[in-house]
Amino acid sequence: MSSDPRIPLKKPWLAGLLAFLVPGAGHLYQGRCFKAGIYFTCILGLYLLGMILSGWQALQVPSDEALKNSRVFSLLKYGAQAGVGSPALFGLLQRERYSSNANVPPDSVSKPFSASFEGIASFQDDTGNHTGRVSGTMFLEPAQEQFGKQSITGRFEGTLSDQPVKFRLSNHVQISRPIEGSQRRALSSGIISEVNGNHSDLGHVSGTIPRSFLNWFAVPRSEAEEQNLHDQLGKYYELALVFTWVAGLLNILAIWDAVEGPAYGYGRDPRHPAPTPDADPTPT
Amino acid sequence: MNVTWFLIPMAVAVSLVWNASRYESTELILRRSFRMLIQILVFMAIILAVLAFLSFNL
Repeated sequence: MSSDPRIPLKKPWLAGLLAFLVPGAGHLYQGRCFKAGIYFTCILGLYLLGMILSGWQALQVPSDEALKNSRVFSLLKYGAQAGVGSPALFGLLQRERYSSNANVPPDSVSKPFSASFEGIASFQDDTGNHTGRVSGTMFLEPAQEQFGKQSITGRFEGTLSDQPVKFRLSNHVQISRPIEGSQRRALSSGIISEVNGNHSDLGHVSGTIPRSFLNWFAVPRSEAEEQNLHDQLGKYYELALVFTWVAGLLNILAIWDAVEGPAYGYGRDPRHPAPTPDADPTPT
Repeated sequence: MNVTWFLIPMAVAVSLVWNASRYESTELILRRSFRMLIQILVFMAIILAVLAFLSFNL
């Protein structure tokens, strides 16, 4: 505990816990508002700047795969970020969701839905062969295969190499897991035509549909996804990582200050003279 | 935007938080933070100049 009685540490353990959860909160509890403002603005500001620079993808929650390959390095990277408290601890909750048994590629969808789609299609119809980039909307719906097995089917409407195109999807649309570290969800399917109830395969389409923010934010990423981020963002991603690491490490200083008080107290500030020892009240 | 500019907010944050954890007086924190910020920026400028000199004509 600080030896300086002018610094109100109140319950240091509680201040330390609050300072860990939200930078500056511990000092606010102690009534040290100026310092609370500095810690809150600088630490959270640096962390947020890093997150914004990386498109909210700087948090490196270690996946099981990463822990197997480089356990110490993965833990150190996340450990530095975890210093900022609750904003980074949310990643542990996301890690649980990611590792849950329910997070598997879906066999079916509960109700029809549509999503924007970007990808590549290759198929052959009466007008010839078509191959190229497709962009448009996927309309997906539940389907039933033989013997009552649930599956996913649908149709696509959009453009192929800037020409309008529509096609029907087979009953075996494959979608990747709902919760993963990338912002878009992989989708692939066969393309079919239906004449008098008979299906014939025309080709194949693969690409991605958007994933909801809560299903990718702070979710552990695979090494391939991590590499993809480096390729996309380059030095800005590295800078973002440094910002979040530094923010987490700076909060360790703030937590220490909340628990123990500042290293040099008021220093030699003449406006805050050190208290003189009480005079001995006993007459001699 | 050149990434070098992003080092300024980091240097400001580091100097303010470091000095806030050293001192309690508002005036001391601000004065010493400003001094530390200048020191960091000058140090980085020297490193930048050395690197620029070494990579001249490469």
